[in-house]
Amino acid sequence: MSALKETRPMTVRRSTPAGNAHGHRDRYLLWIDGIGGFLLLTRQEISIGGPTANDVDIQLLASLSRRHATIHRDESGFLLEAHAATRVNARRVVEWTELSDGSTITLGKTVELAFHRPTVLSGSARLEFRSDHRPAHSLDGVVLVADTCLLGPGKDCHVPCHDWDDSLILIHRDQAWWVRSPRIPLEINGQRFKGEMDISEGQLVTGPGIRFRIESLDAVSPLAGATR
Amino acid sequence: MTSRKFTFAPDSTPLDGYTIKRGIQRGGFGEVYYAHSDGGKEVALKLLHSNADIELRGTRQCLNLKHPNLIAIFDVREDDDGDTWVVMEYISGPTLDEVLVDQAPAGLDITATRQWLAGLAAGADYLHDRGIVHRDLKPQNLYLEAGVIKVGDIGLSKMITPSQRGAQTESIGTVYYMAPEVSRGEYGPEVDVYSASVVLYEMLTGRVPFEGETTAEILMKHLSDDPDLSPLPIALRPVLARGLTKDPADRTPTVGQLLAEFDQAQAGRRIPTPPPQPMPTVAPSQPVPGDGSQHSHLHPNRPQGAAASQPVTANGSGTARVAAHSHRPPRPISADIGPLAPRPIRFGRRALEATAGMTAAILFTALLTIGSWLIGLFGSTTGASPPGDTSSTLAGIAYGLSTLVAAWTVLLGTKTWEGTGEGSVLLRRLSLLVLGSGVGAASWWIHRVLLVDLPPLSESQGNGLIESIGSLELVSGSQPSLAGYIAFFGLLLGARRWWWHTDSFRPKRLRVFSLILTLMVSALLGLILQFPVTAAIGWGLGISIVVQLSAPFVSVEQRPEVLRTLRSSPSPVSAGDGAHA
Repeated sequence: MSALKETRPMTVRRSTPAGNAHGHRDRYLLWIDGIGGFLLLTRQEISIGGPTANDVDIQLLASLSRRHATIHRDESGFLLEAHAATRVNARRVVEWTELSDGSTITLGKTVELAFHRPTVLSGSARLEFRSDHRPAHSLDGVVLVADTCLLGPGKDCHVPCHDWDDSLILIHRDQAWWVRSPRIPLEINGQRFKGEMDISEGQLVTGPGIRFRIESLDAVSPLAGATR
Repeated sequence: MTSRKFTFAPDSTPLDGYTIKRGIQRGGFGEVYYAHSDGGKEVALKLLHSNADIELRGTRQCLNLKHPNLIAIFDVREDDDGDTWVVMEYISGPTLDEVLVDQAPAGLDITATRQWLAGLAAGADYLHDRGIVHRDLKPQNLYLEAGVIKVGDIGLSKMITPSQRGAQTESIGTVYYMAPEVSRGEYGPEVDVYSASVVLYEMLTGRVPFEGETTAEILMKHLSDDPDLSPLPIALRPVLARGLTKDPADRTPTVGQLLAEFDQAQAGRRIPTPPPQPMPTVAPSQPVPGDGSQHSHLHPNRPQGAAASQPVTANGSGTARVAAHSHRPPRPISADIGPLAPRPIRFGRRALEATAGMTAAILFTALLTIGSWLIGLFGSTTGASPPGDTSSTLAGIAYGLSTLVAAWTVLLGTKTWEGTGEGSVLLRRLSLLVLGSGVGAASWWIHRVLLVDLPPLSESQGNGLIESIGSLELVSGSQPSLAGYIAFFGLLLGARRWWWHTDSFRPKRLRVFSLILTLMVSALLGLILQFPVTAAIGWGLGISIVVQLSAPFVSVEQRPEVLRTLRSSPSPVSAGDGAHA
C-alpha cells in the first residue's frame, strides 16, 4: 500500500513485450579472473522471469512467472514494477515501488535478490543473488549499468574485487564498452594504454593481478545463456 | 586464491570441448578455471602442475566416488600439449575460508559450525570408508552451496593400505591444518580427524590453534605445543582436546565421532543448573574399534573433587596435559552423557527395556525378600520370630509383592520418559504420585487379603503430623488405613526423581547415596503420615534397590556408541544427518 506514495512524477514506462525492435537486449558477461562472472545489463528496463519466458533480461531457474517483474532505471533512480507476487523489504509491491540501496527483493515465494546502489556518483546498481536461484549458468551478480561500472576493492564498487589494489571504471557509451584506469597500469591484448580504451570486441584486459574480459550476449538467445 | 598469473585467459580453449570463462583460483597443485562445455555444462577445470603423476593417481582413484558431500570429479583429460586437466563439479557457493574471512572473523555460531562439521564428517567418513585419506582438509577446501557442504580437492587423497602407509613422505597440505604425524610421513585417516578438529577450532574461535611466522614454527607447535582451549566453550574443550591429540592412536577415531562428541557436548551444555543430586560425571570415552580400550577409562583419582567432573579421558599424555593446562577451574558441567542427554528411543526399545527391567525386578525383589525373611526381618506382630513362622512368611510375601508392584510402576512410568531431556519435573512427579497412590491401594489390598499387619506404631510415633486427609483417617486401629497406604506410597513415588534411578545413562548402576536419601525420605513420610517407620524404611530401601538393580544400564564406555545408534535411527527427533543439516 505504502508503495503508492507519489513523491515524484510517474516516469515509469510500461514494459515492452519483448526486447526492442531488433532483438537487441544489451546483455554482456564480465568474466574476471579470481573474482567471478557478472551479467551487465545496459537497458533502462530490465525484465526478470522464470525458465519458461521467451525473452527476458534475467532469466532465473526458479518458480516465477514468465515476466515476473521489471526494473526501470531513470535519472533519479530505480523503480520495480511487479507483474506477479513480489515483495520489497518484505512488503508486498502493488504495481510498483522504489528501490534503494540495501533493498531486498522477493520474487514469488523463494527467490530473493538484494539491490545495491553502492555509490551515488554512478547511476548503476547491482543485484545480488540471495537465495540459491540462478540463471542457467552460475553468476555472481548482475550490474544494471546506467553509464559506468566500478570494479575494485572498495565498498563503492559495483563489482567487488577484494584482492585488487585499486579500482577501475568500465564505461558504456554508444553501444560500446570502454575501460578507464586512473591509477592501475593496464594492458589490452598486451599493449599498454592511457586514458580510455574500447574493449567492445572482447579484448583481454590485464594488469597487476587483474585480468578480465567482456563477452557480448547479443548474438545468442537468452536460453543459450552464457555459452559462446 | 589471488587472480594473479593464470596460464589461460578468459575465452581460451586449451582443452577440447571446454571454453574457459575465467580463472577461479591458483593453488600449489594447479590452477582452477570456471569453464563451459560446448553443451553448456558449467565445470571447474583443474590444470595440474609438475607433480601431476602423484596427483593424478589420487584423482583417478576418486573419479567414480559419489557422495553428496564430496565435489564430483567428472573426468581426467589430457590436452594437446600433454597437460593434464581434471574436470570437476563447479560449486558456486563460498568456501568456509571466505565465510570466515568475510562474514565471521570471530567464528561462526554453533548452528553454522555444526552444519559445516556435519557435512565435513559425512564426506570424510565416506572417503575413509573407501580407504582414502583426504590429507588436505582445510576451510579453503570446504564449500557451501544451496545448503549442502561439499568437500573439495580430493585429488590429494591417497590410498591407505597397511603397506603404503607412511610411504609418501612429501610434506603437503596446508600447514595450519597438518597433523603432527604428517611430518613423519604418516598419513592415516587420523590425519583428517586432526585437520577437521583444527577446522572446528577455527569455526568456533575464528583462529587456528597454532599460529606462527614460519612453516617450521607452526609445524613445531603441532608437534610439541598443547592447543589453547580456553577460547572454546567449556563443554567443547574435551572434544577438541581429543581431536587435536598428538598421538594418532589416541585421537578421536573418525570425523563422524568428532561430530558425535560435539553433539553430546552440546546436549550436555543444555543443563541449566547442576542436578540436585551430585552426579559424578564421566568422560565420553570411546573405545576405538580395533585398538583395544586401554585408553578409555576414567580418572578415578582426581586431585580435587571438582576435577572429577572434568570430562577428559586419560587418552594419553597429550590430552591429559591439555586438561591440566586449562586455566579456568573446571565447572561441574558435564559434557558427558547422562540421563538428560536427549535421545530418540523408539517404542520397541522402550518396551524392551521396561520388560527387561520388570523381569529383573521379580528376581531382585525375590532375593531381597527371601534374604530379609531369612534374617528374620519380618517379625510377627509381637516382635521378631524365627524364620518359618507362618505370619512372618505372609508378611514377607506381602512386603515383596508390594515392593514388586511399586518397582514395576516406577520402571514402567520412568521408561516412558527416558531420553526426552529434562522434561517437566512437576508433571513427572504428579504422574508418579498418581501411580504411587495406585501402588498404595494395591499394597493395602494385598495386606488385607493375606491378613498381614504391619509392625504396630511405636509409642514415639503415636502422633503424626498429619492424622487425616479431609475426612479420611490415615490410621484405623493400629494399622494404616487405605488412605494411609495411598498417601505413603503416592508421596514416596512422587517425592523422589525416580527417573534418575532408572535411566540407562545413570552414573552408576546402584548409587548408595540415592538409597540413603530414599531411606530418609521414606522414614520422614512414615513419621509425618503415621505410617509405621520400620515398614516405611523397608519399602523405601527395597524399592530403591530393586529399581536401580533391575533398570537396564549402559556402561559409560558404550554410551557414545549407543547414543549414535539411537540418533542415527530414523526418528522424528533424531539429530539430522550431516548432509542436509
